[in-house]
Amino acid sequence: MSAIEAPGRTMEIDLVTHAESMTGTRPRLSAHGLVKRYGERVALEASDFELPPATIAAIVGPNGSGKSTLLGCLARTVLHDGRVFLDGEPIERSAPGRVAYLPQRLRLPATATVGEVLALFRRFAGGVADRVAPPPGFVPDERRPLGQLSGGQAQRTALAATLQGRPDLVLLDEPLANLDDDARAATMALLAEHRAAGATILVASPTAVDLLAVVDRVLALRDGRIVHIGPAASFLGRLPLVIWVRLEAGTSGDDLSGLPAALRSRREGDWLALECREEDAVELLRELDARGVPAARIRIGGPEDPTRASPLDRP
Amino acid sequence: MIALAGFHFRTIARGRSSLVAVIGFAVATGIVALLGLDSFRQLGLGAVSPAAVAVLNLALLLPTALGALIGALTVTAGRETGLLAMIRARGLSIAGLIGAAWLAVTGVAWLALVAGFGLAALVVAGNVPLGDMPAFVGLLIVTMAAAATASAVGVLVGTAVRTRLQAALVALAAWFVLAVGLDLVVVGLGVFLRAGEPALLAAVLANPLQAARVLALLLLDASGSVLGPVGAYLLMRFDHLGAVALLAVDLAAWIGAPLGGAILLLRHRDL
Repeated sequence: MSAIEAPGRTMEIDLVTHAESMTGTRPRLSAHGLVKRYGERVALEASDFELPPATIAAIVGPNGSGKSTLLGCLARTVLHDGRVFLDGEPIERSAPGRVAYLPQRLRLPATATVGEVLALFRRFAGGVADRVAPPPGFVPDERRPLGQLSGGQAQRTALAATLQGRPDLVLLDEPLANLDDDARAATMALLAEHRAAGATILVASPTAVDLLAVVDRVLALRDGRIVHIGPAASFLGRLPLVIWVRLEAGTSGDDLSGLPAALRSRREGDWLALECREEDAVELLRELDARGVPAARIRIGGPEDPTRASPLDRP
Repeated sequence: MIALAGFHFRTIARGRSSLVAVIGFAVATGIVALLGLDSFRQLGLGAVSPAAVAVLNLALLLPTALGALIGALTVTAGRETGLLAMIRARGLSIAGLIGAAWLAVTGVAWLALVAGFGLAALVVAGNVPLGDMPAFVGLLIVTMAAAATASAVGVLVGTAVRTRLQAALVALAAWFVLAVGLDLVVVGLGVFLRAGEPALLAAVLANPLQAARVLALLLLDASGSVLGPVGAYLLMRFDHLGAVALLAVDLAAWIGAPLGGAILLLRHRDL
């Protein structure tokens, strides 16, 4: 892994992937110079990237960072500049059924039944048997109309339809939305089985947390640009840690905001959130101690909410 | 494509609005046929009776409105909900997506026509001579062709707009222009410009609903007398078979051109 400093951003280039392609293992997916513009606005300016077979990659980034646009470009449903290759061939020439795509907030017709949806996508699966069957109970009763299903049941139906056949490239846009914990676990297991059979899977999600159990790589987007691509572990190491300090009544916390080890700070009610790199966390705690902040007023983790963070003075 | 068309057809046909439209058209056609029997003692398809013209107008207006509206909504809804993107990623071509939508919508419009004409046939059975049957079937075929053209126009509208509300408004506006607006323009400008028969024929060909109406009346009345100067000019210039062929080709073009336009348009748009 190497890091390249560019103006305004840091980009890690996944040398492992490139090395694989150089040593003869053909990448499953190669994207070159993908750019999507809406008028003057550049929605996506993705650098070249490659993914090997049998990989699950998470595409993460805040809302509007270009995750869905990137998946749309790969699925050939969004017009773009640049080229996409599947096993070395232009993706537009790939055989029917090799690419599967689940768009974000898919809404299938309410009058269609579960069975009809599955039958429709079976027809477009390339005429091959399913690689992996969903676990029992994952797909609702095939006679039920989609209009009578809950959001989670409809999402499971869409997932099952998407994963039919033997797709080599699976593109899923927030597939875990509306799913309960059991369905999430079942979906993760399904994706892992497809990966084991050789599929390359890209999953878009606002955060990588709900995908960490299965992803191999993380592709992080910000403002339409790839700011990180690499193994999931290296992405986790880059995530800022949040140290929460409960402020005493009448204090602003301004004196703590500028501590050298803190990347940035923000107020959340009575709490001050100090973001730092994981390796700087101990140094920041020492600085807080030096300023007389007792451990009882400090919590670690829970990037959005101090009540979900861990107290420092208790194991 | 056929699989997607079948899926679209089933989901559209089960929709409440489609069912209401199909049943409504069937009931209206049945009532017109009954009124024809009551007022004129027979529907008189052997000649051009008021009841036959009423059935023709009904069949040219309601199913075409249905085709234009549902055609536009099917494509727009497919794009909005992600269904078309999902299918496209699986390898179906843009032409396949458009063709499937048109087939399904046309099928629903035809379902309405068959239901309506079926009910009319039941009403007039026993009152209309058997010799009128070819004209009755011809009327059905022509109105089916008109519905197919309106569906194609609707599909084109669906690819050109972004939301279902826009699709519904533009499709109904397009249908209104074809059903009424162009006639009013021709009537107004024709008087003002003293347009001759060739110009009137061009106006007929430029409007699929008008072309279908003229074709149907030609099938009902081979002399073309009910069509006035345009009919006389048509028969003089092309004879009966030629005129029928010209109008049939015009209707086919009114199916092919909007569908071709829709394919071209969608190839240059995001799904």
